[in-house]
Amino acid sequence: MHHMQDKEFDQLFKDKFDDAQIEPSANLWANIEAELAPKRKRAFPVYWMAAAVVLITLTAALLVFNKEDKVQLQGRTADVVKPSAIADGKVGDTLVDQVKPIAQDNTPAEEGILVATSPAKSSLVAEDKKAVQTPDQNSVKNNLAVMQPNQVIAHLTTKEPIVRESAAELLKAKVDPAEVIVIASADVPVVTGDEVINENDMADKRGIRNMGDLINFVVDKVDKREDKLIRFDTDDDNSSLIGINIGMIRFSKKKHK
Amino acid sequence: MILTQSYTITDLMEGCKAGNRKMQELLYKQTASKMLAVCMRYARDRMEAEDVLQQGYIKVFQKIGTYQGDGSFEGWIRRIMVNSAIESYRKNLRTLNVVPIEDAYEQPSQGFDFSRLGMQDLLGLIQKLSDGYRMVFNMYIIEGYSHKEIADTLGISEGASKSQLSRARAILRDEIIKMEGINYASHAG
Repeated sequence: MHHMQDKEFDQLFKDKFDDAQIEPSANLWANIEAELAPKRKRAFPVYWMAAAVVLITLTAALLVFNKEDKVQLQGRTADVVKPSAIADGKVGDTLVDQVKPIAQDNTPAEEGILVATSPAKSSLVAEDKKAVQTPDQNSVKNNLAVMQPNQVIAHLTTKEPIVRESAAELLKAKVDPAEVIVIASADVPVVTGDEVINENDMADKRGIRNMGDLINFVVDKVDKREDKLIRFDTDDDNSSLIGINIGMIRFSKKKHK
Repeated sequence: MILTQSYTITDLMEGCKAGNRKMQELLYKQTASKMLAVCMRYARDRMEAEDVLQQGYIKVFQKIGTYQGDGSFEGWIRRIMVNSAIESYRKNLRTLNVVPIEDAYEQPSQGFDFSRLGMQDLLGLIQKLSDGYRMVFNMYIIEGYSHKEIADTLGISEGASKSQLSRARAILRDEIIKMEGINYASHAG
């Protein structure tokens, strides 16, 4: 043995191990698999993709279903804005149809003002419908008397989108004249055209600084309702969700004025 | 291991590169027993060897994208296993204690010729070498590293690598003679 050369000795070992095989324990693959598992994360988080799909779908749905209304309403808006038309009581064809029920209950003067004021706070149709169950005709008249039609009309012409938005609600309102009256009585004391315009001007001046602003901007373009599909508070450069309105599901942190 | 006929080694490689778990499992099943035999030579026992094997396969699946196709695929996996074993040795260097080789006497196998010694017999002898000797012996004799490479990898001098190899050979010879006893000595002349 001792005369065996190192090379010879080494080769004998090498040969023995050349094709050596030893069966691993049965559970070893399971261990490897378990260790591999966390490394197979998806490139895109599933939840973000799901959220994006939902947002896109809803946006598309709103675009499709709101389109018809908007086209009609723009026509009406043009009519409403004309001071002369209101003064003469000769409003556009569509507007006449819409306002007729009101005219039966109210004076012509009220009719004109009503059209002008309701835009400012149209969303109250839904919220205040129940709260103010007995519309007070007298208070309506009194409040309306305080209002200055000229001023309001002026604001409306400068801020066309708001007019359109309000017109949308007017369309809904026409179903029930009493309901429209409620709008007027609820709105008049608090809401002035100035306030609404200021709010919107502020948003425009700030520009789009974060994701919340971007979403608000897009939703503004698409959803003309007062309670937007989704709304973020972006005042402090951090977006926080303050409002959701998907038909039956509605949530809002914003205080209604 | 018998590989399902419908998959070629290329299929397995591409599947593993894409992170396909089924293909990874097939590659493991086809190569694991050979690779465990490699890991066993570097480890003191089966448990340690399977730890090294597991870490080696994790690396195989992580690095498979870097395999360029030069040299055999099995050789590439084998090198990862050896590196995994060396890494494990270096990591545990300070915590390991030397097992005296003199205690490592076992019953001789039924054979009386060196050529009749089973792989398992020799493996048992290698595993009983102290860790440093075992590393040098495996790397030089089985894997074919040069003393320079061994010295660089293990952080020892070339002289130390050479002397450890000589010492390892001497110990193994003594052990084999113990196993073979008088039978082998007379047979070999």
